[in-house]
Amino acid sequence: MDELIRRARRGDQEAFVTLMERNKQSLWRVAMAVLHDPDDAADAMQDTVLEAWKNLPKLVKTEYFTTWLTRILLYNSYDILRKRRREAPAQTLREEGAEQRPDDTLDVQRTMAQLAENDRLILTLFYMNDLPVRAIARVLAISEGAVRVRLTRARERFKRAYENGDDRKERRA
Amino acid sequence: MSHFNDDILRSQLDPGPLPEQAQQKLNRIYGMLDAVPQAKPVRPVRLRWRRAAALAVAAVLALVGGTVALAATGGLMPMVQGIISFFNGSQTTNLDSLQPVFEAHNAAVEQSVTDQDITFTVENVSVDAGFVNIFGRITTGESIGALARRQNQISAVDAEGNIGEPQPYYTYGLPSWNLVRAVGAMPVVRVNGQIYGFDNTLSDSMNAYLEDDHTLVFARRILVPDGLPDTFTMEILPHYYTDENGEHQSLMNHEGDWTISVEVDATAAREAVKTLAAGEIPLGDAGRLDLKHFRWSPLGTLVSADEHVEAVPGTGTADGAFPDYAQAAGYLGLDRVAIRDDQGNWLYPMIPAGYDSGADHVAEYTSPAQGTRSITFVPASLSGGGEEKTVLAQPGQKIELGKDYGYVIERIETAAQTLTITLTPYGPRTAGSVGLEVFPCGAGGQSLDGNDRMAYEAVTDHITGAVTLEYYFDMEGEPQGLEQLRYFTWGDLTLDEANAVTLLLE
Repeated sequence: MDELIRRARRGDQEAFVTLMERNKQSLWRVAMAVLHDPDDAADAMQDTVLEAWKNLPKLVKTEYFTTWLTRILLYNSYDILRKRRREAPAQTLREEGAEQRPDDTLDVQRTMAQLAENDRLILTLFYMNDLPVRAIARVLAISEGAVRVRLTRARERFKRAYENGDDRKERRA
Repeated sequence: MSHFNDDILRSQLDPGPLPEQAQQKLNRIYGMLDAVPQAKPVRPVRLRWRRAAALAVAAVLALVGGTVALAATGGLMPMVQGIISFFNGSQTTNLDSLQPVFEAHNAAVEQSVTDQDITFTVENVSVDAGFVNIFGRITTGESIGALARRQNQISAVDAEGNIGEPQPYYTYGLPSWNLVRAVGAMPVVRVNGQIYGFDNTLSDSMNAYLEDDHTLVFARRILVPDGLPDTFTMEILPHYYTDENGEHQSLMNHEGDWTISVEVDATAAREAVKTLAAGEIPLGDAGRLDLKHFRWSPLGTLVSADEHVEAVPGTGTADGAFPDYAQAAGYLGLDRVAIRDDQGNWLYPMIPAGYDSGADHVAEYTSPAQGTRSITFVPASLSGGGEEKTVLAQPGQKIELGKDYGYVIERIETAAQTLTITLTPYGPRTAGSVGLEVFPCGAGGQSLDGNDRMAYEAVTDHITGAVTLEYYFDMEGEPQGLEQLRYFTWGDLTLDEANAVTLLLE
């Protein structure tokens, strides 16, 4: 990937497109974790790719490419979230954000919807994008200790919400 | 019975593959790259390594020790009383609580290095056995404000693929962290070949403001867990990183060499330094705290522990990358220990709290009361937490993080685009928490600007442990409609006093 980054930095569009295609699924996961809406997530990714193309020559340390790209995406995602919340009450947004997957029960959907965006985000960065703690610390600009504590707590909150959903299913059964 | 496991977690987090509609948006951008110019690349400049003869001598002297040999090189700077101009600015900074301490114990260095048309100046250093504080400025012909504002801009792309005009991400001025990011400054020091400050990059540790558009005034606080000798030579670098080509310094995206060498005499503070013996502290069934350092010096109190967090064999990818980490059985971290002086005062960790240096967790705490002769470590366990609560936004109300501990609202102030809340701690505390998540809300519980993502800075008073939360709003005028504070609990802290251990300070 280093070679692709170096070529893209010098204006090689084919290398840049290859780079973005390799990272698009990771970006998609992060955008959805924050925004929980496919249209907004697609917009955030679009803005991110454009910004990455413009600013890639300024990236000095290619080994930080992933965290750099993820941070751009987070800025764009937060901006969309901020604009979206100016137009709709928070409670409505949470319900709208829940994905309607046909094989999920309503309780599981509620579990994800109950999680705050920052919980979904850090769990996604670690469990789905496989970023090490040090990289997550750089992306979120917090200490590694804080990353570990947030991961533990987010996982616990998720587990609690999931188990509450399980209990409700068992009681109904 | 719970069926929860990591596979379930992953399956719930997975949003599925990128949908076709999103791919089409990406393809549209790919198709228009020709029309979008790239920024100018950063051109690395070959470093001019400058090593004065005095530094080579100092490296030997650091092993030999002794003031006589250092005096032979000249320039030994004792810590004395003196004004530090960093505190003359109109900004409030998160080191203000320590201004009297710094000004009682610092050296006026007044040295500058210019490279790449950027001048790095160290005006004062305030140093003792556990802390290095650097006060200075960075001056450049470029507009720092313009660079910071450019980094604050994003260009949106609409549904038709048209690129919008750049818009500021926020409009509430240029906070310290924005300026620091723009300049790229994060000073570190090298003593006896060891770099300090590279890991300690929390927002609390670097303060900056603009004196004018070309001058950044900064203060940098570095924790030194290993401790420093009474006299030593210290190299101060405004920035530092390494790669396969060696060491580098970079300011404003220009590589250069701005190393400033200072010979420090911190002997005056020696008598006031109190420490605890390093070693494993048995804290009952909860486990052992592997204490590496407890150092109470005039400039602050530093605690470091080896928390024995290790990679779990057999986890991670096939080639061993990204393993899971777990704490070795029988060990505690600083997040499981509350610390108290012998006058009953809890020591409060700074928020944000500490950093990890390899396996060690290093944290700064408020200092024991004067006259303290022993320190008690109390094993603590946390249960529950993550519950959302609200409290009336009025002085005297309590933010109850758990049973018997939290913060009392001391003061709430508003100004143009900002809201400041000052909180006084009560009850015990452990280090390692993520910091307060407190959201100013209206009567209905919604955030004041409809967004839980408002920027804020948390500053801990280094003397009292009081926390000041400063919120920045992207709106005209003073924020209106504050009725409540919404926050997340940390959980109930249960102290095992029966297994507390008290150690005498040395």
